[in-house]
Amino acid sequence: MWAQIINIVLGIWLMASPAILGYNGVAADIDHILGPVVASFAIIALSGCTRSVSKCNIPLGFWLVIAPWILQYENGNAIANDIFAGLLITGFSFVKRKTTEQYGGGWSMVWPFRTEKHI
Amino acid sequence: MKMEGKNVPPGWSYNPADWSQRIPLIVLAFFGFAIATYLSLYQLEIISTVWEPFFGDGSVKILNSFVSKILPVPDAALGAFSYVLDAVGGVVGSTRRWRSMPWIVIFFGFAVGPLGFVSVLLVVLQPVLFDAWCTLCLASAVVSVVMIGPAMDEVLASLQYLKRVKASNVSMWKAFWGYKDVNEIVK
Repeated sequence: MWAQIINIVLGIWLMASPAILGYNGVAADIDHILGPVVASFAIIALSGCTRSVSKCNIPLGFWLVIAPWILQYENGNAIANDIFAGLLITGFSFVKRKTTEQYGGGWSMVWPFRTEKHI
Repeated sequence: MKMEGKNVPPGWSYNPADWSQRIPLIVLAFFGFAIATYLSLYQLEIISTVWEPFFGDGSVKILNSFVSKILPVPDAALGAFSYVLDAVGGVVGSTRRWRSMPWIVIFFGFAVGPLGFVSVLLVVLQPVLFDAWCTLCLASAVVSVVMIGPAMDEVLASLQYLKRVKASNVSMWKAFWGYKDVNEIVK
């Protein structure tokens, strides 16, 4: 739960950081796009039944780490910010929310290609 | 047998169609409806100013942008309509609706999910295309994203029920529309 709350804060931080740290262009666009998406996935992952949605933030965090090289960021603040935020987001995405609730086997029960196993 | 436990789906620790689960979502839908209605009143020029405490002329820029005029109705009006669908989808049906009327649960899921998706898309467009933020648009987006997670447990219970129906070789079509005879065969 706390890990997802941190990722929500990091997503909001990404939305605000181009204005706060003073950069624009492609780096600002990346942060403006990924910030709301990261925060949204983290909000959805707050619910016990959809907690696995936090995994969607793993590739997004990873992309933030490598984007400064791939997209040739020029602003030092933007480079440091995206690498740092990306590492944190990726790390916290792996923290699975504990729950005492039971969901009838969860989403894997309705996944059409699931292998039959009895848990 | 406990009375409150009688509608809990097999293998679940609670009933996702309980009113305690649904009322918060209905309240959120009304909250989102209020925000979206206010914004569409501005877009329809019924009121001439819009409340914007943080971002200067941000709301004015966003609410008059070409994106908000792509459709024949203002985008906020469409949002308000979606929140009505969410509220209706939350209200209709008893606390055993995950199996007595899967169609309304699935409809509810389809109303909540895409509304949240479109809201996030619109939030992304604000700074990227227009270099502006709109406070109430952000608030509406938060409301619609917050609704997604809590709405999905009921959808899951209905899908699991339909899966059991299929495994029992009973008509999924009848189960989806909540025929009583199916309800008596498959639990």
